Amino acid sequence: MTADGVLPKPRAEFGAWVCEVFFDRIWNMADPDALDTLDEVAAPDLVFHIGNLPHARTLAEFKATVRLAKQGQPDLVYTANEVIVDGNVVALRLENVGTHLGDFVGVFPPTGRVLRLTALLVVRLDDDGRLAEVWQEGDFLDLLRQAGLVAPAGAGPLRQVGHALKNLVRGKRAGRR
Amino acid sequence: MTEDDLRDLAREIADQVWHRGRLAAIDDHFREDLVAHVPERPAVRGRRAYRELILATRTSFPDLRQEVDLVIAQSGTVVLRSRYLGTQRGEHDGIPPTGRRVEITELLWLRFDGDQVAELWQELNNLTVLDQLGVIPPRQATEFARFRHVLRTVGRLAALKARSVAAQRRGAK
Repeated sequence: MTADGVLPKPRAEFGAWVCEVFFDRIWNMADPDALDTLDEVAAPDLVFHIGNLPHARTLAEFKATVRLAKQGQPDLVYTANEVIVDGNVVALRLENVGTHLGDFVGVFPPTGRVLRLTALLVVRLDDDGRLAEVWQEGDFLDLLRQAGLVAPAGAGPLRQVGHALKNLVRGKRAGRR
Repeated sequence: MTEDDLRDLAREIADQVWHRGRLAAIDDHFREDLVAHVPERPAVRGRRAYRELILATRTSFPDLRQEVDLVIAQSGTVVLRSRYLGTQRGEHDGIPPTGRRVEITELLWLRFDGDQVAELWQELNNLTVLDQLGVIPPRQATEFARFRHVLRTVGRLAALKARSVAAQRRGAK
């Protein structure tokens, strides 16, 4: 896959093209190195806006975030339920599922739980079909709750403390391994 | 409806419903059997249940404002990218009023049936809301620091709750 071979793209193919980038290059679990080919299809000033994560704005930061997510859920599978295209902007309605088998966001030790997330993705392409700006939103809090890392909504003070104690013990145990 | 009409209509709905919180506008612009997929709860079914959700949000954040940054449309579907700003004056997610200002980004997917919304998907990261309300320990903290943060937060929330109950009692008199 070289830049010469894939770009520029006609506008009619923008929807399929963004899906290809998302599934084959970014979230390709079989070939982790495919992530590095993202550089070939990125506009020079590409910016990411991921769920208000201020530390994942540049291409390098975004790639680090994706690698961390793959570590946390090594069997992660993304599915696109719908795709729309308006001019040079493409939107995807997504869901993903993966088992929490590694350190989650590089911090939380594995729980073995299956975590599901729905997300929306908006990608602005430049005239050649290069990624110029990417927005993704999903409820990360719900993921942490599914993993039992954050107490459920509306938990009382006792439950909050009990929950925190449990995670403290779990973290210490994982640290000793 | 053409895509231009849909984009205009979606902006109008955003202004009436999410920016100004006009509950009556929900009846005009949403199907009675609306299904709304929103974070942190099972799908909200029916216009009435959605109205209650909007009302609850406006009770927690009475000064909530929405700024729409991008509207795109294709064949009956509209996607909006927005920012919300508001001050937490009522209970939210079990958290008593903190008086803190919150800013959050959102993506919203609207499926229209004619000129009414039939189904919607709202995505935002609630973790950033709790972060801004100061109730989530920093992710990079050690386990012990996270535990201490929870203890401190529980104490702080208990104090806020007591203050909020006292204020309600004074208001009731």
